[in-house]
Amino acid sequence: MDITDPVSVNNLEDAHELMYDLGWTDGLPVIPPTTKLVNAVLEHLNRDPQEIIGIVPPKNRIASIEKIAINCVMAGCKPQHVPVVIAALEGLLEDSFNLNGVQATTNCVAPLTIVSGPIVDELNFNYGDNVFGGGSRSSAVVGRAVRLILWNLGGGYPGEIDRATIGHPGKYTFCIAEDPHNNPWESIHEEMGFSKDTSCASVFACEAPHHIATGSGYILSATDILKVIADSTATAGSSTMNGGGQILLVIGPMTAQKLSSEGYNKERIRKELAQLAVKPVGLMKSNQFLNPGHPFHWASIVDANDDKAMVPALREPEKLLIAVAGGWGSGSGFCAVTHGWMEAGGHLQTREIKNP
Amino acid sequence: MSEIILHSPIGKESYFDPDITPISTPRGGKVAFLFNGHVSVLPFWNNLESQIKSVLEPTETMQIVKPNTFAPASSEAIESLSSADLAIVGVCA
Repeated sequence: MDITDPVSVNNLEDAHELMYDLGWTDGLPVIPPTTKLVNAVLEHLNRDPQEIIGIVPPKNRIASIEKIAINCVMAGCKPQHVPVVIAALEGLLEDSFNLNGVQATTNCVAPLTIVSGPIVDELNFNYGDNVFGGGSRSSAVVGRAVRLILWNLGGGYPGEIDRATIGHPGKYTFCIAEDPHNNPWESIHEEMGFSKDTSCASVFACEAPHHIATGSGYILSATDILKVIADSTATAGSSTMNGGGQILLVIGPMTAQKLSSEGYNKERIRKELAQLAVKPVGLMKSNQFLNPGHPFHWASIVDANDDKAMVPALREPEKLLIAVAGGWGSGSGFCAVTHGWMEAGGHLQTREIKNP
Repeated sequence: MSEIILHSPIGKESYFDPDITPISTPRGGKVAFLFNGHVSVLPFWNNLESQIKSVLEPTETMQIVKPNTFAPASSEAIESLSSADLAIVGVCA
């Protein structure tokens, strides 16, 4: 039997077990991709099922519209979710994203999908409370569909081509939305050149989010908020601290409003955090993760013989990605930071979501 | 109950351009290995070297071992690979 061909079963109970036996899922249960469900997606998309979106590394399997639809059905997508998944996949397949490396690295990173624009409200993506957690079908199934595509088309099987030693829970599903109502600044897709009224999916390969309690509801100074965020961002063991690359800062709406009220825009936040998020050379030399001769190593920009010199977590201010998302909470002003995969790849890509 | 058809989520593999010419197999020549010598991957490289020796029966082998994944080999080491008929270079881990 060709593993790309359909199979038949006599009942749903057998279907679930067979899908596990065939390796179609990474451990979580999936929706049986029946003809009726797959056809519903294909009819909605109104595209040639054999149209090829790209080749998904490292297994280099062909991502046709039909195969994407099947994986989306298994993830629990409704037909209207699928254009979001396709946009995310287009970003992942950009050469400079280096999906081959992201899928195969020993690092823990996983592609995060960030949805922004009018579709956030139209499909009820979660941009508020528990934004990285559960609660929204759209966020859950789009992230899940991306993962199943990376699994079934990319062949990113742990212990085989996926060499991640630790990994993180975002490898099951990893999708958030930007807050379209409480963001005092431009959203990511606007920064990438799209209009505010365009719906987009952005992808960024990153670690699990690290929670930051800024206390922004109780304190007066934006400088204090940034000091706390900076200290939580610059950690001696992070890959980006050692090897550069992008970092995503998710700012809760309370903290965003606070910073904005004190005259901060994204550019100013980036500039100040680039100066504040540092660790001394004396400490960073304790970390032998990268050899000093490696092109990503911090020694290429800081004097490694000066123990008091500071190594920046952000090699340039522009390496900081900023999204406004999360709940209002109490006065704790929660935010989150997640580091990327050094300069190796997984860098932000944004694509328009094209509805049929 | 009628049977249920499940559509496979697995795609066909895309193969490389058939116009790419495979390298010839240099039997009896000099084979060089450049790889990450971290303890976690030594079994892999030792096994690969053993397999290649059994297949190619090289007259001479050369090993260049890097201390870890992210330690670049020196330019002299890379230059020395040119003396081999076949150089097998490990990328990343």
